[in-house]
Amino acid sequence: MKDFDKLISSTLIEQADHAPVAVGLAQGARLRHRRRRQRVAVGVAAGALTIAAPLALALSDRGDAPDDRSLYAADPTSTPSSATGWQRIEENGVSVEIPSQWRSFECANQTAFPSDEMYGPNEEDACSLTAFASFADRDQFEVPDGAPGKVHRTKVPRVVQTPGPHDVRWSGHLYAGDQIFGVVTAERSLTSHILDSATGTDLASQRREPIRDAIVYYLRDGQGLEMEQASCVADSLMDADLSEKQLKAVPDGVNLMIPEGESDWRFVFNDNGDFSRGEVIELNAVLSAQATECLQD
Amino acid sequence: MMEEAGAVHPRQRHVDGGVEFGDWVEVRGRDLLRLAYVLTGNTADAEDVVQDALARALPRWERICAAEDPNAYVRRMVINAHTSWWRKFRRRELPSGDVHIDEPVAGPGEDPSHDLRRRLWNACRELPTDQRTAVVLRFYEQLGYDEIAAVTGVREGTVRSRVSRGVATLREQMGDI
Repeated sequence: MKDFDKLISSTLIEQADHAPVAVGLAQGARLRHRRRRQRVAVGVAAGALTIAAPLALALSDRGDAPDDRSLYAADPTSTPSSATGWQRIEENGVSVEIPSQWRSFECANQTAFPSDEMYGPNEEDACSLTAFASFADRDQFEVPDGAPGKVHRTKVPRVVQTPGPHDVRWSGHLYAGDQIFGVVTAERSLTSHILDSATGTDLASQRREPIRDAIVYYLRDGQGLEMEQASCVADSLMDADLSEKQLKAVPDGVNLMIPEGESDWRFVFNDNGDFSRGEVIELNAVLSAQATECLQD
Repeated sequence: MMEEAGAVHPRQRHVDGGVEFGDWVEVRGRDLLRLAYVLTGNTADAEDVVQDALARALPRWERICAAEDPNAYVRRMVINAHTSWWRKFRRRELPSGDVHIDEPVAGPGEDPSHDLRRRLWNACRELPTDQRTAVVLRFYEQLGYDEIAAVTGVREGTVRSRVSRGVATLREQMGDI
């Protein structure tokens, strides 16, 4: 190990001594667990009880398809094809409709969405967050990406160990008091329906909020490759059928790359020169101009 | 440093072939908090991440003990909680050029190397989450690149790049040492 590496190691070990004292951890975990358990799944909404096509099968079919864009360009206002009936889940007075085929699962090995009860078409999808709906404590989140109540296009989350090349999902969230409701599905219209079905929360005011922001940052590759990257998280871009808007937004000399397992769009700069903060802001301005709802803080 | 996985503390008692949750937390809680602290860089987030992982582990504790080493399992939960998809962009990750580190000021009688490590720690805390996680797992947990890749769910090449970028930034921030 190099001297500098050793210095990093010894520094981290030394600083770990400043970690908080482990008092009452088990008791605290039990309290937090009990609080989360105070939720009830209720009711079965009207709708056909006949299951025409299991949602799980529909999802797996989509995952094997060659072109995700053609699959997910459905009219967001159309009726979800994969849901044949609805059930309503509720927590603290807020309820949403989810497909009647979905069931509740406890997911042992996922902490990305801090909830003990994940609803989904099957355990694998629910626990890998590729198709789920659930409530969690809002105080465990900083401000989420994107505006509440809107459907966002996203890649599968990083917790999935072997993401496929076409694992695009549609996600959304809502605030409800001290809770946050999150949903991810493979079908844009399904995510939209679930969000639109919510009652007991002030959705109207949430939807009037402007699209939150565009986050731009850049990284310098330490290998001498001089590859500069900038990422922009922009709701309107994520929400859009991306091709046209994104291509317009990319300045000359910039190649677009959509990395696997990421929810952002990444721009790789070919030029080897210095990449100043000013240029980052300029890029952001280009994006903002093209994506009308993409605002900077 | 974490104790060797699988070591059994004398106070641990076994329930249905596993270790009782409270006893395990009593023995391992400190190590989890140490890991969470160097990952998150602050006390509040460290406690939150560990509490979250433990609260999630609690209802399925017997299954965890029966299936695999609970130490590795819960440590992975702590790491996942820190780097979770839902949290990732909620933290504003600033470019490395925006890092601000105080000039070294050694206190009376203070070991200069201590001040050096303090500066390095401050720089480490300012790394973007992905890089800091990779650096911590590499140099604190002493994990191999392949192990880090398995824990964080990204390719090994990505891990190498994150560690490399993180170390390069730290070197740049430290200047001539």
